[in-house]
Amino acid sequence: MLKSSFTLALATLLLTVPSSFAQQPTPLLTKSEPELLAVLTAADSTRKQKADACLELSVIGTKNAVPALAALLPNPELNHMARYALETIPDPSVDDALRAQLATLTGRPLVGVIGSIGVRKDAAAVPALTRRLRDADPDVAQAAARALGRIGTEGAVAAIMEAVGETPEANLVAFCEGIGRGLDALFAAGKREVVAEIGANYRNTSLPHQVRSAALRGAIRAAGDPQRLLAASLAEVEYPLFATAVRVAQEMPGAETTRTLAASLKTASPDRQIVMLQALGLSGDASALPAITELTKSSVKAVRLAAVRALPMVANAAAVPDLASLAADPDREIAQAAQDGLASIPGPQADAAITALLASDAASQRALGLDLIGKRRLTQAMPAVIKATQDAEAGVRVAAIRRLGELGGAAEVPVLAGVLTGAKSNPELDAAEQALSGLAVRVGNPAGTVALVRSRLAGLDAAKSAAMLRVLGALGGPDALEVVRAALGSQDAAIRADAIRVLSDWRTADAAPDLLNLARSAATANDKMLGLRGYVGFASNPDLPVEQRLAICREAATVVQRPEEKRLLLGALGSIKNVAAVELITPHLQAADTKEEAVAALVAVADELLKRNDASAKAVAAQLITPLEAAGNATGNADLAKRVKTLTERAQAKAQ
Amino acid sequence: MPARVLGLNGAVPPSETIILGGIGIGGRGSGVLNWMMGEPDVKFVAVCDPQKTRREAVKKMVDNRYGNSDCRVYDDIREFLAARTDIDAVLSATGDRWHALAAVWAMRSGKDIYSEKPSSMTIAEGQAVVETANRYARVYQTGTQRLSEANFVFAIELAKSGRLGKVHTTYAHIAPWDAAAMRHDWLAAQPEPPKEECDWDQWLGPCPWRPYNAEYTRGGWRGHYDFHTSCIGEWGAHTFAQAMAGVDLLDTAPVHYQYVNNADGDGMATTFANGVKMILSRGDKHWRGSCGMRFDGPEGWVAVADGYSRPEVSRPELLADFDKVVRDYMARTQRPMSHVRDFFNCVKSRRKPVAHEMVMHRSMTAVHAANICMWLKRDLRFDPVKEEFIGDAEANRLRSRAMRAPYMF
Repeated sequence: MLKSSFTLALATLLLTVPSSFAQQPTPLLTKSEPELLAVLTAADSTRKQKADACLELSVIGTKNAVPALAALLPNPELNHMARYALETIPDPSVDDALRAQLATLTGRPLVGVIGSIGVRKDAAAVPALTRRLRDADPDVAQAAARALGRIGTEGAVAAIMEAVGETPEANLVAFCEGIGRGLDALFAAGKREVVAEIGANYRNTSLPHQVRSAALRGAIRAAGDPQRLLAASLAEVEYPLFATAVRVAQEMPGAETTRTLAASLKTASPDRQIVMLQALGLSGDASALPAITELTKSSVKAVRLAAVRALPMVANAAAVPDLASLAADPDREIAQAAQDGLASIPGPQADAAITALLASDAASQRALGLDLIGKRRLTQAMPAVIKATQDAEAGVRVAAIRRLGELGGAAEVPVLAGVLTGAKSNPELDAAEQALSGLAVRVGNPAGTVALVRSRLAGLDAAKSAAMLRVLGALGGPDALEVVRAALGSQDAAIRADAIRVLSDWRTADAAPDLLNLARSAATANDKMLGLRGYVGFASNPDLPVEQRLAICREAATVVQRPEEKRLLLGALGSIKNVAAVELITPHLQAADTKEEAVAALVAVADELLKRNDASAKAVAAQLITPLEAAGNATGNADLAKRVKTLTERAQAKAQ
Repeated sequence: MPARVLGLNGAVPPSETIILGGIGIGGRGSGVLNWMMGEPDVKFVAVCDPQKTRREAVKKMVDNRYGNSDCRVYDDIREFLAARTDIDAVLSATGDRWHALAAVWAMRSGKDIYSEKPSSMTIAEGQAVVETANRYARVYQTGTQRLSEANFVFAIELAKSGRLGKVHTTYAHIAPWDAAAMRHDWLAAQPEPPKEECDWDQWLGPCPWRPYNAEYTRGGWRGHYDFHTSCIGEWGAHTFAQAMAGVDLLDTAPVHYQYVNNADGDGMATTFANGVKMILSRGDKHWRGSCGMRFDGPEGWVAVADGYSRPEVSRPELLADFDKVVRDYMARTQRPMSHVRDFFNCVKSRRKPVAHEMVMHRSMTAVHAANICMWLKRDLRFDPVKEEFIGDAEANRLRSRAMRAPYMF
């Protein structure tokens, strides 16, 4: 029984896993050359075994392996693997063996052998391959043309040239590939005149465009005066040849090519202008800038946009003034492209040109300069930015204040404090407060900043004083707290109120005792209420420990008197998911003016507590039953009553 | 005169629509194709695949998208390329074995090409792609799309900018599955399906013949020497290019490969001529996620992988300029944060895309050299100018593989 179960399981496994599971990677080389040759010649070797032997011989085979491998070439099943091994054996006997097959093989085996001869660049095979150019089998003729091209001697190229005129149309692309390969080989060998002549002839034929493109490329590269031919090609009627000329222009960058492209721009169609503009941009040649700039005034938007985008590609500071002008263009796409370009041009010269925008007569240019200084994070432009905080235009001043906050360091903290105290408008004051708050935190010298603020507080109006206090709030810490605490004694009610608000938003509970004192003994009812609200607010802070939040609520419970104060406390208690909060809520269930808020708080707490499934869950549920029943009796709200009923049932079930 | 009027493919003025075709589009390819069809100036018209179910699935997807039945299907790649002279550009998402050959044939037919990765099986295949792209002035983009994603661009720009100091080490992720060693077995022979259902000879393409087994056609080709480039190529096709971009060495390849005695190449140190190291890394030692990369300099480091909201950095302030760095890169280079859009822009401008043929070839050369190092189990030295290993004949013979007729360059 056990055995049959095992067999069944194994069979299931074999049926469900892919067959590849059974096989693992194996080494590339497993045998010596004599062992591999023995496999090749053994009568009982399988096709797979012979193929494997050929693969290994392609790596380690020597001239000793050539006879056995050559003997496999006529075999249609093993011709490819024989070539696989032979093609990489660095011995001239391989060439002899392959060449010998040219007269006897046919079909795919012959095509393969011709290909291998081409790979090995066997110049001695040129005559035999030339004969095959006129083979009736198009695959053979095409292979011969490609192989001759790869051999790449003048004789090989001449042979293809002689045959191409009479070869069937189906062979033309392959023959041209052969010629193209040959031209590349001749070009590499320095035979430029031959390449130029052949290329010039072919580009004017009716051959497919890619063939003429290849010829054109060869002709331009090999020409005695390549710029003249490039210029003529850029004016070609046929778009494919124009496109090839642009590509070739990118292959031969330099001042001359820039001039040729720039000169061709003027009379070209919009489509061609766009393509040439990008080529000019790619050149990185500053001498292209006038031609590009000229087309930023084109009446065709696509051309304008291409020109604006080409300017920063040149990556030269000389483009900054033109881009700065375009950055204010009424067309948003143009303006955005110009602004992006301005932000991206690298280098100190571009930095200087952008900083110089702050001295412009036009407010829009000064604002643009400030925007770019921010994007480029030009900290070295700080003096100019500081100066701009006193600009005649309010918008420029606000932008300068923001940059000061973003890019400033410790030295700019007092500068910003001065800007804040001297702010001429609310937007400037807001910007200065935000900038100073962010910078003070980033700089990380709280004692220094607090001392600075303390020294500047005297005599400020309420709005600026409040801003300074909020800066201290952002900074936090005991020193800052002390200064804010001192402001609670101000004679100005508005300043006191702002100080209380800052304490209420304090990042730690250190401000809570001050707020409790206010809630208990402030001189005015308004300050008492603000103090209580701030104090209870800490009880709702989920970042504080629960025990601390509960302690705050217990203290607050001794202070609250009016219904709205009690509701404030109940709101905070509803956010504390703890049984102790229930105890603080329960007394309020009986008061007519707070019972509904108390029920809502209890529901919120109970709902969370009943989701627990830990060890105390049962005991907690039991503690909730009585308060929930009391809540059910107290509420007059149908929805709350329904929720209380559901929670009571859950508590009862869980308590059992 | 516009190319359309002349009936010529492969040259599209900026104001015209790019006519797109597809070769070998399966799961990954469908994702890319959907992405491409979202571009407003692109129209997909035909797909070629030796497997009927796949080509029909693509036709259905395309026809549904366009609300017509116009997508044409082809089962023979040579016929497809020769017949469709109206097609400007091709998306090739075949198995790895076909990537280079399909690219060469497509470019020779006058078409620009977006080729999925790994885009070559050997160093010689990469050379052929480069030669062909140059010869015919074609636009070629390999599918290393992270070179057009903001997080990766930021990390690359940060490394190149010098803000990490002079970067001395970069780490490149290799896939967590498969090994560096390859399978050399054949799956059990199964009856070949009719040619119109699956043209097995064409499916094999330039690779050595082996008997049909349906598992190959369902992705089971991975891990086999003839069809795959190991765990190193699976992700290294992306991450080597990413890492090399950050150290500004995309125009070369490492000169030294240090063999590591493990199954997958994890920890292999490759060294460039200037001393910068690129270390292959498997797992999540330096990042969390797929296709990760990292740059280390004396003043900090940056790391990123798929799934990050922002790159990880040694100092938070390095991230302060994230938006600026990416925006400046886009304005300065006019490269969009979309790999397919970059390709289509280049089809029109004739500019080389961000992952052009030489980027593919150099990064894949490093992949192939690392594989060869693992297969031969020894350190290797490489001359990136001559593109040959120094003093190692066996390694040099692994730079190419004879192609099966008629599937040859």
